[in-house]
Order: sequence, then C-alpha cells, then structure tokens
Amino acid sequence: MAANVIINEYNGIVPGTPSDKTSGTIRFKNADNAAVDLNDPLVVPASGQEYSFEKWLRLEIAGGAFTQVSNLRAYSDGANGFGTGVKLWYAVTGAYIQPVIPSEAADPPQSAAAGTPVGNMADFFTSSQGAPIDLDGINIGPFTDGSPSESIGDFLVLVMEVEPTAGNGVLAAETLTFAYDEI
Amino acid sequence: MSGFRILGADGEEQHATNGRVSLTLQAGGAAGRLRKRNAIKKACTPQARREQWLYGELEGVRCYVRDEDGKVHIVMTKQDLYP
Repeated sequence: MAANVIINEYNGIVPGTPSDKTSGTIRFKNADNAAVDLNDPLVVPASGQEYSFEKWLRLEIAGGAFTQVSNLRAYSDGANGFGTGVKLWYAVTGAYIQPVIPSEAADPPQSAAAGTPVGNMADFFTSSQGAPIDLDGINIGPFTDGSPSESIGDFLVLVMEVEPTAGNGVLAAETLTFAYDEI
Repeated sequence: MSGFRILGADGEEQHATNGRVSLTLQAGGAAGRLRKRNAIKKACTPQARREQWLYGELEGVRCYVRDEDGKVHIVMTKQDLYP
C-alpha cells in the first residue's frame, strides 16, 4: 500500500479541519469557504479587475505504508483555458495566514503568501510539466510520518482574477497537477 | 495493476517491480536511487486520477518507466520529467 496523499483546502482564521479537495471542486468566489455553490460569485467588473478570495491548498499524507515522500510539485498545462478576461495567480508560502481578497488597486494581485507584507503573485499558467512549482522549498522534506496524517510541504495559494472582458457563468475546470516522489 | 514496489537502499543494488514490469539499478557504490514519481492529474476535479512512473537515477542519468496497462514506455534522459 502506498502513501495516501490528498489535497486539502484551508479556510478561516486558523487552519482548522481542512476540506479534502483531491477529487472535489475548488470554487473561486467572494467568500472564504470550501463550499461548491453559487453563493458569493465573482462579478465581472465594469472596469479594473475583481479578485477572488485566496485559495490555500496543501498536500497531506493521510496514512498508507511508505518510507518517505519528497519532491512536491504542482503545475498547470501551460495554457489558460478559462477564456478572455480570466486569469489565475499563485504564490507559495510555508505558514498559513487567513485567506483574504487581494487589494484590487494592485494588478497583478499581491499576497502575504508572496512576500512581506505582500508581494506580487505569479501567473499560474507559466508553470508546466517542464517548469513546475516547488512545493517543498520552505517546508523541506523528505516526509516520513503520515500516521495518522501529516500535512506536508508548502501552501499553494491561488487567486482568480476577472476582468471586464470576461463572460458570465460558471467556467469549465482547468488542469492542475500535483506530483511527488515516494519510496 | 498495483503500483511499483521498491526494494533496497539508495547507492546499493535496488529492484522495483509492479508484478509486470521490473527495473533493477546496480549502483556499484555510485550515486544511484529508485523512486516512484506520482501525480494527481486533473486534481481538484471529479475527474482527478492518479498516475505513477518509476524512475531510476544513476550519476545524473534517469530511466523513467511507465506501465500503461501493459504498454511499457521507457525514457532515458538527464531531464527531470513529471507525469
């Protein structure tokens, strides 16, 4: 039996019980919760841009038999398939901070996950199989516990941006891949 | 078909198999290792699926092995490849 690695979404002031989103939907919205609903939607702005609440994701070893897990990575397919006027930004950090909506005075969005007090987030679609995002550069592995569970590596923080040229409605999902080595 | 299982320690003779495909690394004292490279693809969607490659690395050269329902793909490279 291999390590059971899952993907968690964290919400709230403190990282309480996270939501397992491994095969669940992450809904970018104007509220800090993991619910996949039509409440608090992003609104296409008349000018400028609108940002979602940050989504804080982290891998967890939820049991299983293994020796170690290391080399955590994440990447996109390298192409923004959300359509005109919709962008996705990311930052990586080692410690949890309550998710916020980045200031809409800044473009690209700035996050405390990207610097102190805030730094520019990066275009998520610049990551790819050939240039993945390092998710264990701060909380360095290898990770060897996993019993009964162990949160591992760094937080991947995502923010969606909507511009005036965006269309309305729920968007089709984009491709996000998490990768890790195991023995 | 279950995932790969790795036996042996880094830098020594290591063997990995999934019951159908096997890879043996004879490091002979050189820097060598076997690892399972896992991916959760289409993560955070109902279509999420897991994929596993095996790779052996010996002095910077990597041999990636992917067993796709009996169709085996092998790539040798110095690149760091991800599923």
